[in-house]
Amino acid sequence: MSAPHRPPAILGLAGGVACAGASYVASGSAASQGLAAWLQVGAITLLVHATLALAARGRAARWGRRLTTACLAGGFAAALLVPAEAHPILGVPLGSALMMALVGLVPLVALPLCFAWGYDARHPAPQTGLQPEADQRPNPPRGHDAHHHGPT
Amino acid sequence: MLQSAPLQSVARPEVVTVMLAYLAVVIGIGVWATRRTRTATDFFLAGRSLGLFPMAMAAMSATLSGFAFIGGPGLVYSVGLGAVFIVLPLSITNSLSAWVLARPLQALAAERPMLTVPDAIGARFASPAAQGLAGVSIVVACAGYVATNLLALGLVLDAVFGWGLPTSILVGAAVTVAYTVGGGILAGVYTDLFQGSVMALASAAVTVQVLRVGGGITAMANDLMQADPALLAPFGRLSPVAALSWFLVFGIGALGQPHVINKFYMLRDPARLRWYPAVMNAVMAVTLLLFVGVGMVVRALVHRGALAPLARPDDATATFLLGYAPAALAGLVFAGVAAAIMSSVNAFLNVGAAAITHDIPTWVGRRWGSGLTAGRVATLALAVVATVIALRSTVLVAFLGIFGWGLFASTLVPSVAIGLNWSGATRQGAIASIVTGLVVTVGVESLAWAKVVALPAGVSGTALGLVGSIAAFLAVSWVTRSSNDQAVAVERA
Repeated sequence: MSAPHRPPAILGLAGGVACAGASYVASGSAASQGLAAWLQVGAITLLVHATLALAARGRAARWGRRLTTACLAGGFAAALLVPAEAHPILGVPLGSALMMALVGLVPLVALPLCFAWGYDARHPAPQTGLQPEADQRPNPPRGHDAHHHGPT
Repeated sequence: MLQSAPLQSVARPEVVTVMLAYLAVVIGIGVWATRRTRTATDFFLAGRSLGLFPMAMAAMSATLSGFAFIGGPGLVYSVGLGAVFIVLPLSITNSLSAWVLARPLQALAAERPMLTVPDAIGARFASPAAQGLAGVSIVVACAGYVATNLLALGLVLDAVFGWGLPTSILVGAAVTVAYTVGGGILAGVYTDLFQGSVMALASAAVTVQVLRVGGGITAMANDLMQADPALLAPFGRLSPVAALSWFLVFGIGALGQPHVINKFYMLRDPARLRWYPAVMNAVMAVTLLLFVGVGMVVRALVHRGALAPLARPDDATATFLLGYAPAALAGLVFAGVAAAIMSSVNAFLNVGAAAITHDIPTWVGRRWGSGLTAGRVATLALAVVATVIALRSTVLVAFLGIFGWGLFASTLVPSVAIGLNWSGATRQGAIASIVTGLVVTVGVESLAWAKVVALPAGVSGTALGLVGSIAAFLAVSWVTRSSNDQAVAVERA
């Protein structure tokens, strides 16, 4: 079993970083605050989705990833798009209620269930790209950075 | 975002009694754990003997500081729902960290002795330099974080006992340091179990009181909408970019908090990890109800004319408890605040001492003597430095306090969360990301703090450092991929 390379996930991370950077640039101008907010939503969604794509495998993880992405994008979109005068729920404006439900409540309950569903303690290890022999070596000389040694 | 200004006095006999009882239990647990701490693994990793619930409570107690009980409700009082963006990421972070971090860290720990989070970086990239640099960033962050927390603890104890700030800081530091130096993280975990229970119980009880006094969610929401509709807008009184930036930083940054994620090393049986996110989400959701509820109900009471507008938002919790809750409950909540702060100090001292005695010496090719003795000496030294800073200069505390959480996030997230899961990551990428996170976070936060640069609303040095370090990690790993001799896929059973 080899360590995963996963270029799409890395592209997703790069896209998320680019969105975040663009958002911070756009937030410097009063005229582009709306654009900055949408770029920030893109950054959050891409970074979370790509991080999960990089690390979490299996059917349950895929469902968890899709659910997370949908909830984050949908919840933040509701916060940005639903008019303030829309019908409130429990006295709370609809946009706020949808955001709290989609970004807060649904992942809070559903993601742990996805994790538990797909968890198998007998399968160790997503790969770490670890040097198998590294901790067998003696301490390197001062400043040397070629080999790692085990804990003292 | 911790407490840095004096709190309203809550010196009532019931509050003092509950607080004294709390401190007595903490000291008792510390004495018990000190007798059981015999090795460095006991001291730094609780002997890798934890069950799921103690581990989850320890992770929760390390995550939450006094801000959840004092500053958070004050922020909700001030900016409404926007404040929730600090805690909203918790809906995903526990599951995210279980998927992204728990398995790789446990896999590493199964293959070789792992004591610290930088150990994982050093092993993954075969780089003592990356491990040492991560250790340096942890020490810098811990010094400021511990000093900030000790000042906050002093303010809480002063509000309860009225000893004056210097004495309160010294007493709070002495109790926390005593059990941390004696029992290390073993004492920390079992005090965390007690402290986390106090926090959750206090929050649940206060929430019942909030709903009773406020007349239910709908009644409070109606009052808030009449007082200021912006309070219940999706981003409260914050700009959307500011609120969303908090979500990004606290959501992704949670993957780089060493005092929380090192708990994954401590679990006795990997099979128990299955329900870690569920347990964490449950206890954190209960504990954070107070964060949202108190700020809302105080704002509603002000609108109804039952309370005068607060002079300082941070008085929200004390004002509500003294006016609308039994005094014993106020005592429980202030014990919860002290618990949150002390458990954070314990966790920071532990990871800071591990960086000093283990990660940085690994980089420079030196070893200390006994792991346990060195750990105790380093813990004490770090605590003394932080206490002196807290006693001598609130300005310096405020300055150092801005680095803590963000520095962990910007320096560790790429190497740990991405690096442990991506074979294309390189040693050079890891080092570049740690250096970028360190320089950008410290540099930009310092310049902003000194008012040399003015950042747009919602942009912080932490956010720039986090985004910059991930960008550096990806870019340098891509550029150096051909020389990446250590990240080639390793066949493992």
